[in-house]
Amino acid sequence: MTDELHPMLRARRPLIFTRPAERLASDTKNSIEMGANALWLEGFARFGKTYGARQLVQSTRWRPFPMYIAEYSYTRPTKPGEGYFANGLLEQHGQVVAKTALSVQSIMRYTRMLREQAQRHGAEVVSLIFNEANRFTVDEYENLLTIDNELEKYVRTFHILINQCDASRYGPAGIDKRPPRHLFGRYFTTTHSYTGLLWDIPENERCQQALSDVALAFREYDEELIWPQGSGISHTRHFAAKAYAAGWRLGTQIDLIKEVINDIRTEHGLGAVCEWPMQTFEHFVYFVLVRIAGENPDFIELTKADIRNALMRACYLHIEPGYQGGQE
Amino acid sequence: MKDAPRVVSLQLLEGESREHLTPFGAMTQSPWVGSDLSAIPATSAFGLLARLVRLNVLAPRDLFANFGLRLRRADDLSEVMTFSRARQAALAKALGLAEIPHEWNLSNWFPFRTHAELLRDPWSFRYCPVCLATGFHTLLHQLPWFHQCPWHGCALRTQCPQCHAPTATQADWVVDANLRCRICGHDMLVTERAIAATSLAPKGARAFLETYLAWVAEQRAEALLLVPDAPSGSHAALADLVGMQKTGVVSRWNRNVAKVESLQAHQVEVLDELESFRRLDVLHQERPGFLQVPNLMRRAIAKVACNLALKLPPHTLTDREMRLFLAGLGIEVPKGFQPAHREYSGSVSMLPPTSVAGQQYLNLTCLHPSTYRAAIRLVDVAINNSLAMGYHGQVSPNEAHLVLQACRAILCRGYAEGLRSVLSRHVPELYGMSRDRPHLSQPWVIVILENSDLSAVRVVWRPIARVNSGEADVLDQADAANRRRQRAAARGRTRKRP
Repeated sequence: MTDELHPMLRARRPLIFTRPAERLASDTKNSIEMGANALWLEGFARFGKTYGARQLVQSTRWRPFPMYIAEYSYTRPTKPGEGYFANGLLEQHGQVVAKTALSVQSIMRYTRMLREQAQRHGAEVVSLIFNEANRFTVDEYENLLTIDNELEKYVRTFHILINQCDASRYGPAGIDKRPPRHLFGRYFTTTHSYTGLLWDIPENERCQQALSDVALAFREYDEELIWPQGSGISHTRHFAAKAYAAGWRLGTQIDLIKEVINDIRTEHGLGAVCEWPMQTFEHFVYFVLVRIAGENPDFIELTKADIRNALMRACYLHIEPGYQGGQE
Repeated sequence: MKDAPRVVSLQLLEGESREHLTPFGAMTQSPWVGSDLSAIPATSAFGLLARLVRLNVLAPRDLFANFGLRLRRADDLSEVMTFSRARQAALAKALGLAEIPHEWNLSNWFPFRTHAELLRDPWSFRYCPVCLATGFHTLLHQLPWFHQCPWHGCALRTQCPQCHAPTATQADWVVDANLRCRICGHDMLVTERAIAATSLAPKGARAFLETYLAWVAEQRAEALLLVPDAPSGSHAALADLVGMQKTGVVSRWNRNVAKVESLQAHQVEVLDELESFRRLDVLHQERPGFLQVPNLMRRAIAKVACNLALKLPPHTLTDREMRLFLAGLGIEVPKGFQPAHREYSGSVSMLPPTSVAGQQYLNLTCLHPSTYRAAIRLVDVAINNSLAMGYHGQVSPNEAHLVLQACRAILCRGYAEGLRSVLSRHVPELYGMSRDRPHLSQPWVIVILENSDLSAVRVVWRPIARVNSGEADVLDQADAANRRRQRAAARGRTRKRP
């Protein structure tokens, strides 16, 4: 039933490939090729780290070796134990957990499950993505180490540890200072800083990138996301058919959108815009396509008021780093 | 925008299809390691459970907690999981299966309709060492008509391949060591190989199993197995029967035989066949006593008695007894016949068929009950599978002919064996005769039905188990049991046949 709805109208809207995710893929590939055991991925809240990592799970061309990748979210138990850690991973993987199992049995089972999946996918590398890895304490890293040690007898491992750098509620991280050497050497040697969609092309990427991250993200809706499959109708065309026929795209008004954003930022004491968090970008696109263009059959293009309205609806300011609150 | 320069060298943006991009995270399809049935064709419930136990590092107590399987430590898990539908249902439910897989039912592996319990006594877990090492076991390996794994070609085993100790299939394994020999420690299920095989069935297994299951389903629609009352040697009998079914080398009476009869003779015979059915009805009784031999069988029955009498050594029958044995065929006592130097025996004289008022009567106490009960069951099948309601109208002439021919063959062999067995008390020399040495066997009958018409009958004879008793004693015991049942029936209580 849900599949009959347009993807933009469903409870979970579609993912898009983004340039920040592309950079993450590139760094991950390099780290694996170099022989690292993990990538420490950090970024601000709602910038798209989780979906960026999920794109790695769902895409294959970037992978240097056949890989099996699984993603997890780590909770914050009061008494984190080995059994809790392994059982949590099993349950998140859709496995029924034996309530009577000893911790060593749970760890054995978990590693066997990963080996089974690796076998099934023909993988040479097993990669675990841990969301909220900022909640990890030394105990969790030790548990992960145990799993790694067991798995490495049969298959290579590589993990992506997603760390929200502004998660101040729980402190900067479970590990206050420099972690023990055996953990540091495994999990903290390579880092990737995840950004929002950049408005400007970084200098060192101009050779391979001709459009800004924001323009590329708009292009996903304008050209790449098609529904129904094979129809050739992009999401932008679906919701703004008349404007699309006249040559309008989300990307054609990118300069105006940037101008309005900068106006809003100036009004609230923020500096010039350099990146756009994925959450507010996606909400902005939804509001523009579904609410503004989709509900107006005569829609031709966005006005400044439309853009400002959409940005406010997307709560643009609230998750901007440096925003102190105030009258909108 | 349309004229914007293309982006290059971006693996995700330029190279990846968006079709599979989803906001949802991936989950495993099966709730236990190694429980994905799509990867393992036609596995047995025990095979799957053994694999789950090993790959998920389960202890015996976990069976109830996780699968709802309440077992005692001494229980043979392979037997329980093969024959207990309740346990199979519990396992299927725990694995999230909509219903019990068809392949977990042993009956579905038989090419004829019968109950699976036949293979339970005695039950022994039978496996292919190469398949089991990868955590794969299928009920095909339990079938007695397979002696080798069809895809690996290695001999099927019931013991540890190294020390020949019984396989450790009880529900009391050490964690992570189920199916490990307790004597020599040989691991019949190798964890590493089982993990490697989770996505890959043994080469050739899937195709063979699909073909086999399709074949047995086709055969089962037509074939019905008539099991003796107290079956013994069921494994060997089933192996022989299926061997016949597979190769087509059968002692088969089919309707084509009847078709070659001339029309007139056929019509006369039809009347006679219906009368024969009426006479055979006496075999339904708990202790039938005497059978008024149908005309179609008279000569064959008489020939059995006659042949044996002529083969007996000198001085074994009296002159009068010899005449009775030969009377059925109307043969005179041979000139060189040397009679026994003893008194005329009434019991021996009752062994050959008795002629009274132009009719022939056969003393059924010298037949093992499993013999004549197989015959009457055959008649029942022919009658019950017919659509017509009247007794004589129920069976078509061709079916009747076929059934009576089969009954004749069964009764003749049963009579020949019974005759030798009873006679051996008076003529111990019989034990020195190689071919005619006394022995008792029971018929296992497969009936082939085509469009509710009986079209063929296949019979395999297997020895009757006897413990420290002679053949004649076995017949006496069977007759005594018949008497008890007869008395119970007279008192209005029916006793179940063994």
